[in-house]
This record gives sequence, structure tokens and C-alpha cells, in this order.
Amino acid sequence: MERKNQNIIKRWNPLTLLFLIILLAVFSVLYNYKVTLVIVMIMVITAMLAGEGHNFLKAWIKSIVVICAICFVLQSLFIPGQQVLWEFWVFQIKRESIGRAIILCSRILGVGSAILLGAKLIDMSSLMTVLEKKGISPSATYILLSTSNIIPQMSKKMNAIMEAQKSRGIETDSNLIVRAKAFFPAVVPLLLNSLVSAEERAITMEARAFSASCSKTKIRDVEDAKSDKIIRILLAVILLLGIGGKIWIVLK
Amino acid sequence: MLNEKRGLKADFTLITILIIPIAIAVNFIIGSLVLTLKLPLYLDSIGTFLVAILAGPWVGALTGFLSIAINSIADPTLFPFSIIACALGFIVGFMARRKMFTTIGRFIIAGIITAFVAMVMSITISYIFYGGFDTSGNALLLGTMVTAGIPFWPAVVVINFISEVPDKFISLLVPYLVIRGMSERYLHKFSNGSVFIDARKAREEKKKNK
Repeated sequence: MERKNQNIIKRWNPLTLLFLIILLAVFSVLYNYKVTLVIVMIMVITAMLAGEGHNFLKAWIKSIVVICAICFVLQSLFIPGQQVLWEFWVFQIKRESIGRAIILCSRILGVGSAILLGAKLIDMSSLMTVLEKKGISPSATYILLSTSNIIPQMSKKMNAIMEAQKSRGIETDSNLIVRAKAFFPAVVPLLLNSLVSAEERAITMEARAFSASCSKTKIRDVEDAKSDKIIRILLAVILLLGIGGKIWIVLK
Repeated sequence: MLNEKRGLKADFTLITILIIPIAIAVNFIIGSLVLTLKLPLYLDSIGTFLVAILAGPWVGALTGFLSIAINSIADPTLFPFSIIACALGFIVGFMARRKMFTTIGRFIIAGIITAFVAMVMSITISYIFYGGFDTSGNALLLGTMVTAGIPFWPAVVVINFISEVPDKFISLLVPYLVIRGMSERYLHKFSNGSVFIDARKAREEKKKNK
């Protein structure tokens, strides 16, 4: 019912979105930087259609663009080559290194943007529901899903431990040796604490019949419309054609 | 009741399934703690090693892989290094099963093996995927050394030696100390637990005989 109110992209089944993300990532790895640029454009448009354009672009510039820039500079400065294009002080920029930098950055750009788009568009818990329906074990989906929940929880715990240790007189902003000494008293309580919480979780899960072998009911159901299936088949065909095309180009 | 069954399927008990996400989170949190303390190490595999030592090679490998794979959502250039984390998790788990983490002497040997494998693999992966210049701070150092006239391979080996050996030793030392302090009741729940319980019993008997 909820899904009718949503926009054109978010109405898709999460599995369909996953197919789209994989397709875009594979294409940008297989083909050269021009294709990657087109694909990144497609991603931005997709994000905008889904109403996540602003969020996506903000995160994209902060992470992927920065990483690509670092990578490009390092690669073009230090990868060895013969033909020097440009020189200043002790640095030389060579034709070969620029070529390598472009290939590498185009791949990082393509795959990185695809993953980021996936993270923005796909709702993890509904993707896991769908995957479970398709026969993936609940343990696997539990591992993936709970990781994203546990990280913020544990980060809170870590802060609490650090505050406690600071109030006992452990210094965290002095020279290297003092800072290194602060490491163990912060980490050991965190580890022991989280191991104990794992046990508590185990009891809780067991009480809810997590490892029972019978079939279970789900509180949420993710719609898998006919149009989704058709789109998925189309995407799979395009993916195969893309891989085939690449093989054909290589053989030629 | 000791959990004596071992193997791919028997290793994945309920408690190990529950502890994998926690280990990944531990990796992540300690990684950021190291950043806030401005220590010159990564230490992003403590959780992986802890799980690997407790629950064996398969769980260790899975945890290592997932941990870096999830991290690479923020930095996609990390993804190739998930192979290393996977292999290290496996090796550490395997060594733990062969009683390599029961005494301090064996621990040092295990540490040397782990650090060596980590060094060789990280050089190889970094060279294959990035020509040696990935996006870590090491690459900048390497670039400086190469421009200063030091040949590429010696520079790579030295840098990786400096960054991997202390890192892996501390990453193994923390789980080693934690497991020493763990209660037997808790150790029983993991497939490698019996290894540590037996070692503990043997140590106590030795003390008595003296």
C-alpha cells in the first residue's frame, strides 16, 4: 500500500534495483572512461528521479570524487613511463602514467558511484526480506543487516568507555607514547563488553526461534510486481549483451 | 559438553553468527579510535582475528572479507584488500586450531607468519591493482622515496614492513589477551574454545606438579 505513494524508482522491488546497480558497475569496469562518464550521468539522473539527487551528489562529491582525485594525482605522478608531458621541480607527468590513471579512476568512479547509489536507493531490510524469500539463509541476511545496526550502537559504547577512562586520568591528547597507552584500556573493555552482549543476543534470538528449522512468517512483505520481473529480465539481457560485446571487441 | 565438531558447517553456530557482525563493528570502531588517537597504525583487523581465533578459519575468512567489503562502501579503493583480510582471517583461524595461540612463544611465531603473509599480499594486491600507489598514506611515502631516487621494490618492501609488522602484532596481541581473560563457560561456546581450555588445564597441572 505504502509503495503507491512513492516515486517511480523507489516503487521498484529492491532486487530490481540491485540488478540495475550491478549492471551499471559492470559496464563501467568493462568499457573505457567515456562509457563510465555516461553511466555516472545515468546514475545521477536515477538518483534524482528517486528524489535522492541532493543526498547522492553531496555524498558523491565528499567520497568518490575526492578518492578519484587523490588516486589520479598519485598515479600520474609516480607510475613510471617514458614520454614526459610536463615537468616541474622533481615531479614528472608521463603519458603512460596519465593513461593508467584515467583507466583506474574511471573504474573507481564507476564502481564507487554504483555502490553509493545502491546504498542511497536500496532499503537494506526490504532487500534482505526479498533475498530470504529467494532462499538465502536467514543467518546470512542477519549478518549483513545487523552489522549496520551495531556500528552506531558500538560507537556510542566506545565514547562512553573513553569518557570513563578519561575521568580516571587516561590522557588521549599528548605525545605518541601516551596516546598509545590509552589504546588498550579503551579497547579491552569494548571487546569484553561486546562479547557479553553477543551472548545476550543469542539468548534473545533463541527465545524467538531464530534457529528453528520450520518455515517462518514475516511481518513485512515486499511486493514483487510483474513489471519488476520484466525489468529484471531486460537488465539481465543488457548485461549479457554488454559482456558479449566486450568479448567481441577483445577478440577482434 | 565440548563442542568437538569442526568443519565449514559446524563452525557456524548461532553464537558465531551473532559475533560476526560484532567483530565487523569492532574492526570499524577500533579503526576510527586509532584515527582519533592519531596512532600510526591501522589496527582494523582486531575483531577479525578475535573471531578467527575463537571460531576457526571459515568464520575468520568470512569476517575479514565482509569487514573490508563493508568499509569499501565509503572508500571503494579498499575493496581489493578484502582478499587479504579474508586470507589472514583464514590463516589465523587455522593457526589457532593448531594451538598456535596458547603460549607466548607460539604466539610470536604465529605473529611473524601473519605479518609476513600480510606484507607479501598487500604488496602484491597494491601492485596489481594500483601499480603500488593506492590511496593510503603509504603511497605518499612511497612516492616521496621513489622521487628521492630510492628504487621502487626496496622502498615498497621497507614501507610495508614498517606498517604491517607492528600492526599485525598488536592486532593479534589484543585478542590473545582478551581470550586469556575469558571464562571457560564462554570459551565452550566456540569451536576453538576447547583448544584454549585444554591449554589452560595443562598449564595449571604443570603448576601443581611443581
